[in-house]
Amino acid sequence: MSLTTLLIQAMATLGGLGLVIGIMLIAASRVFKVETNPLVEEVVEVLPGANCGACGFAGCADFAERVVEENAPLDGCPVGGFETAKEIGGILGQDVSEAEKEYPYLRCNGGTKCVDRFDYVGIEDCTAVIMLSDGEKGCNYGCMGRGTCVRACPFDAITIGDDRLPDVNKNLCKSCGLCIEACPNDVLMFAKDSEKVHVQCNSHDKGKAVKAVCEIGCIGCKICEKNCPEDAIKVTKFLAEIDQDKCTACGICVEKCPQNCIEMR
Amino acid sequence: MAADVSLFQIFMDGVFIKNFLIIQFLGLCSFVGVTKDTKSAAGMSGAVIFVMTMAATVSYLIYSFVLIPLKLEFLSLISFIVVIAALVQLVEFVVRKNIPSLYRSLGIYLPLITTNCAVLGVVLLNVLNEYSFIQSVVFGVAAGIGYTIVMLMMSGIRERSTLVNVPSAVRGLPQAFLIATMLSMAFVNYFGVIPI
Repeated sequence: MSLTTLLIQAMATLGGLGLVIGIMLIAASRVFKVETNPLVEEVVEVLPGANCGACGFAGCADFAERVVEENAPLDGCPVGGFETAKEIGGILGQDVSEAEKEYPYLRCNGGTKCVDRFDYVGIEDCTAVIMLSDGEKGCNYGCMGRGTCVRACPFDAITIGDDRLPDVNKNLCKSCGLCIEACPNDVLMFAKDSEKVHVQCNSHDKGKAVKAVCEIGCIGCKICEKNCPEDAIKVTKFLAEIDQDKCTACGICVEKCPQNCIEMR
Repeated sequence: MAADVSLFQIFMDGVFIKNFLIIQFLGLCSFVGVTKDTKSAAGMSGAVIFVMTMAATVSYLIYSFVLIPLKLEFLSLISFIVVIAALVQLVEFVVRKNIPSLYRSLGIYLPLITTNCAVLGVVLLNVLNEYSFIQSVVFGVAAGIGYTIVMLMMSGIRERSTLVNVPSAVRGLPQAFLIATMLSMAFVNYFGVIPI
């Protein structure tokens, strides 16, 4: 067999193989064709593209698909906010009304005002701290201040201040809720700007135990509950809770609280 | 040569004694890249098992019914690459059509299988060892299972080791290589368990 015939045979074989496989792949791509809606592409364009998953779907592309095809809420993207919702509404020909933005709010003012039970030396992570006999803090409910929420935030909106408490920068915050999910002690929660009065404590311990470890924790004395003219405060399990629908931000509870753990902003 | 080797021997050979990842050091990019969490490691492993089995099957057919009769064995490498690439493409079509959620979670890892040298390794070893059709398929499945076992072990260890206080110089990839070394030393003990 001469070199030329060998070359021709090799080329013909590989070419034939490629041709057969190519035809099979073309056929397969016809059979398994996935119909994509052009609207989905348009919606992806206007989304922020952070892929943070705050909408509850796998990413921005997934959210766009659900919005177009499965009637997911138009304002489902907390990062894009109202602007994005309006643009999506424009693409799909639907009207959107604005919902008020919510920010993570810290239910603990302990920080350096709360005593430490021991010196913690280890990785700077709230979950790791809590795994070590419920944390170094005297209070088992409060903020550990080790920055798990800071690292969870994809937008660098949280910093740990000198008082060892996280500080949320509202200009950078996109209300995605990832910090709230990451916090192992559930001291972060969503609150609207219009909700003025908040209890700055998460402790369900009895008053005496709270006083022993924290300067400004809620001791469940019910003074706020008795003084509230709107009947908006309930003390359950030694912790005051404010019904934001009833609260008129009169400020009486803020003045009366002996522990100064109710705050008006 | 290969005719008297039992299927069980070939199977154990592929899974443990000649484990593709940590004995033969094939497909290491996916081994280091995808083992950060167990979920994607498992998804990748599933896809690799399927592609390895299919590649072993199809390439045996092409090798013995096209290349050998035409005396074009030297084309085996390039034609196997073509076959594997086409198979991965086909898998992508099917998964995208029928299981879109899996398609989304696998993402980039699915096309990555094309360049996974472990798949090509299975096919070339089949030719080298002169395995029959059944033997080739069994070796393909076994290689996939061995890949899966090591991927899951590695991802489990790496997931847990993120919570451990590791010196910062070793954190990340160096740590992964150290773990891989120890896993590899453990698997070396399987040498000679089954004479092959």
